[in-house]
Amino acid sequence: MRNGFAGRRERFEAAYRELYEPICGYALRRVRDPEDAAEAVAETFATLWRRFDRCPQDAYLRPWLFGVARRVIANQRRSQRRRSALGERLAAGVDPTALDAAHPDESSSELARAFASLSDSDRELLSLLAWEGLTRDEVAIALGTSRAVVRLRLHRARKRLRDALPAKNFQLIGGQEHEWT
Amino acid sequence: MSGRSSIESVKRLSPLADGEAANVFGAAGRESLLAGVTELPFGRGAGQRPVVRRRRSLVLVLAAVAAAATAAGAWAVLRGSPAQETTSVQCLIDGNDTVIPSVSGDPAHDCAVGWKRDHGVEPPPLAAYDNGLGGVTVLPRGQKPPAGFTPLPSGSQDVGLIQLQDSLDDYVGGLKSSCLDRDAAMKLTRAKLARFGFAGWTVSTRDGAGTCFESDVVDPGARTVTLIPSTGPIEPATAHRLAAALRPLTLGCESLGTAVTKVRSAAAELGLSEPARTYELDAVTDDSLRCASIYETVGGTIFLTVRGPSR
Repeated sequence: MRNGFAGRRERFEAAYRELYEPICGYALRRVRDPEDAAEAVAETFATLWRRFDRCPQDAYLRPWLFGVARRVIANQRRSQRRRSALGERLAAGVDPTALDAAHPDESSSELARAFASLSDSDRELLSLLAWEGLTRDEVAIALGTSRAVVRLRLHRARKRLRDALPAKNFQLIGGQEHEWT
Repeated sequence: MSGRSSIESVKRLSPLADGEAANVFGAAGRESLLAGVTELPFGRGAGQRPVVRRRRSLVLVLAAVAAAATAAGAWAVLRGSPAQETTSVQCLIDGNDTVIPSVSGDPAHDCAVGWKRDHGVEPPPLAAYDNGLGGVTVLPRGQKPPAGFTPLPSGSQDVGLIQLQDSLDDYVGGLKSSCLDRDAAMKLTRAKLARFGFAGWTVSTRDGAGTCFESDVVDPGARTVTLIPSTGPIEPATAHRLAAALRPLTLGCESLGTAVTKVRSAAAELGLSEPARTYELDAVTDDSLRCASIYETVGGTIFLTVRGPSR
């Protein structure tokens, strides 16, 4: 095993390569402006680098890093920050056509309208599970809260989503709601 | 016929996939960022303060539970409100949106504690509201609440419900203390419902992978606790080691102060530290209790709650 700076850089690079795409996805799904998203991705990984010896490892690292990205984006929204050199590095190669091509047009669906009608916190919770693929326990780590809080809030968010949809769309099966297509 | 869960359905609304997002920045952007980041200084004193923070406080808080008469009055006001059925609080302070587990039953107090712990300063005066969505939101007192918000008095969350939730999720003596099968988990859950005075509730189970049952949802609206077999959550070994160390402490009968001292000592022996945020401790004075209770739950970190009499 390599020690010291080289070993640290090697481990960081492995984590970076594993988590770069998910963090880019998280940032761009929430911050539509690619330059702002680049800033968020850059600051998230800068934080990971600085704290790499003290941050959670193994299975905890991924949800923890989503929590970092969440905080970075929240801070971005609160303040008019200047661009960092790191963010500019990432933004330099932005291909707007790649972003335009990626957006599916679901905005007019009943599900999209129901989802849009939910509160910010409900949407965040559901999207952490659905879009980021986090488990409920991982969401608790990302949000820095308890598992019980996540479970109850998820239970209610799903119910509110169900209630916001026309009744024909969902049926209850074994205590869980299912959409019938 | 085939169905899909709501989570599966929401997946379809994702604006773009991870790979598509990475493509927006290009392969050159990925490598350039990696090179730039690894040129940064690292470790303590590397310049910027950490961005991430946890939700619950690190500082011991001797939170006085609202006086019984006040709590009873608040309860009467809230009866019928879904906000009383929560064990969490949304703290919306100065643009910070955090959700914390309820501790004292007083949402504004809990948010104030969390704010001081995270920011090192007192928050502005705070006020709690039923947010009309079945939850409790705390805002600065001077801020105009959004439409649909209803002011709540202090002591407006059910401390019994908070204790029930903590007790079920507890690694020391709850469902997470060992691998319980369906029958054992249901029996323990019924015992805890009885202990905290929740008569007429039902305990049900959901299907799922795994064999160790844990609490899924405590739903006061439906008066139901749902249990679910564990599907392999991430379990820090230290959480179990700490629970094993704390278990003997629950056999005695200690005051709050003594219990807190012993809990901290047990945590320190395992190398856990409040300043390092490897655990967080809340101490709640409750003179209705004869002996201190110790609960350990896990999420963003290891959460320890000690409730007990002042002497």
